[in-house]
Amino acid sequence: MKIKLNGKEIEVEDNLPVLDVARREGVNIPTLCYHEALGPYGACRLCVVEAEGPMLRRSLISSCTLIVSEGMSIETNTPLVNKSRKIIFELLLGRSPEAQPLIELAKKYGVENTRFGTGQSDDCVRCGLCVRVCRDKIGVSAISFAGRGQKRSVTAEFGKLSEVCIGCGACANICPTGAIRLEDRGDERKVFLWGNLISRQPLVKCGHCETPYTTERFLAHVRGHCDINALNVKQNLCPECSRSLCAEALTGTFPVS
Amino acid sequence: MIKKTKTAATKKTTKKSRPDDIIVKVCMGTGGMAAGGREVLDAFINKFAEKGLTGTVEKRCSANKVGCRGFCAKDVLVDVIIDGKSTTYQFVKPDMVEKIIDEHITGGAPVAGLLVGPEYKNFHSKQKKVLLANCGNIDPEDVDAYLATGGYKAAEKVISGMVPDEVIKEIKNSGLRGRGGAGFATGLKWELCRRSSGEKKYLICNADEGDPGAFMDRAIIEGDPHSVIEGMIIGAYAIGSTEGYVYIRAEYPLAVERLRLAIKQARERGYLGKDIMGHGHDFDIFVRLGAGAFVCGEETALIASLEDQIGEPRPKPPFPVNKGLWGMPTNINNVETWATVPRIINNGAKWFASIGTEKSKGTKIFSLVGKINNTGLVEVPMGMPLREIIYDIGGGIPKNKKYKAVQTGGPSGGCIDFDHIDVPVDYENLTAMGSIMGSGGMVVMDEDTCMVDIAKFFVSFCMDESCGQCTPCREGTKEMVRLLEDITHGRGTDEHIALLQELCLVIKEASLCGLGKTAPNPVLSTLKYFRNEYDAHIHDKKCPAGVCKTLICFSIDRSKCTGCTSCARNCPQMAITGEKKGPHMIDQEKCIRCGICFDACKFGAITRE
Amino acid sequence: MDTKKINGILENYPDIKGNLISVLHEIQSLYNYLPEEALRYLSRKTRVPLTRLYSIATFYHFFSLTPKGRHQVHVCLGTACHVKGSQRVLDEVERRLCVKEGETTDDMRYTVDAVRCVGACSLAPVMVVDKDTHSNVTSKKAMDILKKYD
Repeated sequence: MKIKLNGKEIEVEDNLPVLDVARREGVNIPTLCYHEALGPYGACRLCVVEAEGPMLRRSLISSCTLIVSEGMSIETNTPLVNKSRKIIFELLLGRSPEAQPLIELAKKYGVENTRFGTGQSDDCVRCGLCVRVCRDKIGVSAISFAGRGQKRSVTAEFGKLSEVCIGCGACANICPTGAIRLEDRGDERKVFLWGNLISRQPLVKCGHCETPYTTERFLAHVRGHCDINALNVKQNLCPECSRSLCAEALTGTFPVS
Repeated sequence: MIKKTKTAATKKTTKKSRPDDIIVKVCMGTGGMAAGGREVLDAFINKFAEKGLTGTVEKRCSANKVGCRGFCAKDVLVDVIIDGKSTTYQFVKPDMVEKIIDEHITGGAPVAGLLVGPEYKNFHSKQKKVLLANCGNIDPEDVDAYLATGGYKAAEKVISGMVPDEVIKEIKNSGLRGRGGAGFATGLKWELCRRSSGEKKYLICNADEGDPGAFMDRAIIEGDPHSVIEGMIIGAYAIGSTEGYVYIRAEYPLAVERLRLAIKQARERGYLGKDIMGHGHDFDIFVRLGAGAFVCGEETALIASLEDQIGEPRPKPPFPVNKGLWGMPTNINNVETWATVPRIINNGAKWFASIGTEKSKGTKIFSLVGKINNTGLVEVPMGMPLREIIYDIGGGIPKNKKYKAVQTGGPSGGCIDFDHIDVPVDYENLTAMGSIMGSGGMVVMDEDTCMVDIAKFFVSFCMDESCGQCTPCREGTKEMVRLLEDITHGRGTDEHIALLQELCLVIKEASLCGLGKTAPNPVLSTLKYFRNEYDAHIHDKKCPAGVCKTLICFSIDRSKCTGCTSCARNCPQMAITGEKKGPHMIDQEKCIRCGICFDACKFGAITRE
Repeated sequence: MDTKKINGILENYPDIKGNLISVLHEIQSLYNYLPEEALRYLSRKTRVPLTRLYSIATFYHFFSLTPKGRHQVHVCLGTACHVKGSQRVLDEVERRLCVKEGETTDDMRYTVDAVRCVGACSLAPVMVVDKDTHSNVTSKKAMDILKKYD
């Protein structure tokens, strides 16, 4: 179908989000709560664009949730779009003035200061990626949003230590600002969400090099989801040793028992 | 002849009233009950039994006719109807019942001192009761009372004699627009839902009336619940839905109880369930409670709540008519909208379209509250000038104070100042003024209301009720409140206004849902019409209305003070000193500006500026 | 934790889907709040993740995770009540009972909450105590009303 992007008519396939189409065309649109692995959420509002169409009144809509339709016209660089991005970045920086990745992203779009904030600093931008990855991809739901409005925060149940967390670290991995941190020390892994301890899990040692590398629960989780006959799973090998096994099995030098 | 289902029906009949029956109607809405309606009702029942009279005492719902909720201010209101002639009493207490019975019912002479006054007549004379016609007239807990007014005839007409497209056409032709706030064309919405494909279609009644100051939905459900059920039956048939939900606030326990009872009765009589009225269509309604989240009045948040989630709205498109509850096509309408449907079917689209203005048809219920003499629910044709509603029906501002503004549409709306008081009230005109119709709330404000404080009130409300999902609303409302707090505390500057305006623009345009998008409206509206008040707070560090505590000062005029010590005795901070019969003085350091002394002084000796 | 009572509630809802909030309402009616153990049990029985129950319990204002007092005091801060000075009523109640909005007095006698509109706007300012709606409440009258509730 045909749509217009910043005045230029282009041909696109059905069912694509405007964000994907725009990026493919080399147009820069900032995002925070968006991740290819998860469905769109439309929460951060950084990706808003001005959109109009035969069945759509002209307005700002999040490009990650907006699906292209015949005759749609999209503008990603209007004064309204730019003003919105600026204020939204400022609002985010108001809550998280020290979140380095956010500062850099904002700078990329011309925002270096914020006129907002209460003096507190909280790197969690409430993007929801951690909650969604834990719920939808890992299937554990160890964390969720609690509270409402400006008091909304991410916690484990009752604000206590999670009883179901498997310590996989997907939340820390996906967090765009680094507000979630894993700390492996000795044979224990701790998960910190902006200073709050939400989980402690015992680590297991690699069957070959004996370095603690993952949690018992995560190992059990993986075992439940993949071929348990795979050698690296059977022998409980850490990623380093797994790689060595792979490489050397090809050359026949890794001791395979 | 209505065919009944096979389930055993407990037939409860109202005694058919004969012309010589004496009927007493006691207001039993929340307002009536708060004023002691139950006790008054019991007093009548007991006295009638005691005196061997054969009067019928019926329970009456809380809405109009006798002040539904509105004239709750005059509760307990009681109608005494003899030979078809109705006389209304106000402020009735149980100990007045005997007098009314002896002098009026038995003796034939109404008790002059207890009757309603002229303001009661004025309140009702310009109203046009369509939706509220039954409220205050019939017993809402008796389905036969509803049937006696022609209830369920529209549903029967539709299901037995019309095809769905005909029904949709009729609603479209009537010009009915959603009464929940957005004013979307109801017929069109039904049509879009009908044309949507999905293995199942859902119907929802949005009874999560969260707008502070609005209580029309409550009045309808408490006073005439079957009208909503009948509307939904008709809608279900038109759209092809077999399952409907009423999502109702948990804060309305009486309404919930009456609704549940009405649904039970409708099922017993075969109006809900399988094979409705024997014509092959299935439809049933289930009640779901809200749990204290204003955002759940937004349709996608409501749907999320029905799906066992937190009330997080979802981006639109897709719209609920295409993808709603459980991903299926869903039609959501407000309580008033559903209650209007049977009237349109009974009286015809032409009739409905003949009322109102070109683009806003029919009547609308407004809750007229705040600084107004006759507070209550008023139902008027669309297009009535605001001035008539405020002065003719509302009786003007109490204590002869000056009208300042009316906030319409609740926290999502804006204010109408005196210069624009002749505006005909309909969707287009209110929107053109920077406000909205919303659910129909009209909060009247006088010279003692600070418009900056009002803006702060509404934005604080939105901040508290924000779900927190999207950045502009979550962080933006918080920042707007902070800026308004600075202004009301004397710390404001012109930069505050400039930043407020920037924030308003972005929050309005970039928020995910209607709550965020309309949160800035009260600020924008008060900035537009009451900029002088903002300027006074910022440049003069004064609150012209005398509301913002930091900017006001209470002091005692020694020439008027009689030394009665009333102020000192009531002061919670013990900030007032003085000898008995001698002039008193307020210690400004201790004073917390609570205003208790100002209220306590009977000599007007305390000034506030 | 009397799991029999919770089982009893669940029996009314053969399918938890679409009924979760209704179940939570019933549990709260039973205990006057949502006890942690009740939610943990509910999670186990229905397989709804505990974090989701916690999320719901903390999102909706109606639900409480801490025990409430014997008497629920709701001061209405809706627009009509606000315009008629209900904030002063709340301030006075908070001051005299030494609690802030949302809190319960030490002797567990009162829980004070602000509500945004109970739909009785003509009676403003309104204060609801348990099931009783009190009208035209002033800061002076408020404490007299509360004293009647032991």
